[in-house]
Amino acid sequence: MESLVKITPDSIDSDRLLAYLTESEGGAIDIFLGTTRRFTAGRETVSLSYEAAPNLAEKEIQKILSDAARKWPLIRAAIVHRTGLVPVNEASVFIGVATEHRSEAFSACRFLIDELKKRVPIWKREKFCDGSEEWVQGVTPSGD
Amino acid sequence: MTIRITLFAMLKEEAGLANFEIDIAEGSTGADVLREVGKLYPVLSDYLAYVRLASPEKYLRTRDVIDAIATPELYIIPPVSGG
Repeated sequence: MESLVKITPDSIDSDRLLAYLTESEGGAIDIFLGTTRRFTAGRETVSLSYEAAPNLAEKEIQKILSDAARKWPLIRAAIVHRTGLVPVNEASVFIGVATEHRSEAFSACRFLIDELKKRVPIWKREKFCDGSEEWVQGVTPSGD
Repeated sequence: MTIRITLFAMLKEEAGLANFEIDIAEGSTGADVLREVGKLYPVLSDYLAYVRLASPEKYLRTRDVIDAIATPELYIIPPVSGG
């Protein structure tokens, strides 16, 4: 499996990442994009702000990719997570996999985003329209 | 042994700083390190039950002995919320 992993303050270039996956010559590509939602439980969000642990965040994503590659025959995968301010309607995370058939593409893509949310040292802070800000409640990575 | 501690997200905010150094005894485990951090920054005490320790390379287990030469920098990882 070939892969592209990046934590970046830049906006996510989905076209370029899709091209990278398409060039794999597989038969199926599944992509998940996480974007900043405007309304959560009736409160209006202006932006999310993300912080990532240097080096460790990429390392953990690599591990998740290795775990996925053991479960499904992946040809290529791309995972990019943005840091800093992400306004409403913009993407904070791109997860994409290229495989031979659709079934493993769907399964692997789902696994990758679920594991990323449970394990990768990234934190989001939510800024609301009323000017208030708070850290989004997270989960303690298992394995201690 | 001196070890450099890095805090993230709400821990950094609560403590008012991102990095500091602590002295730990030879043979200290990750749990010992967290206890020391709690003594130094009592404001973090409530959070420390829900953190993971890590090096910049990988997550560590709190029962493991910390080798300050192999791991001169420790991350304290509060509950994660990426995605």
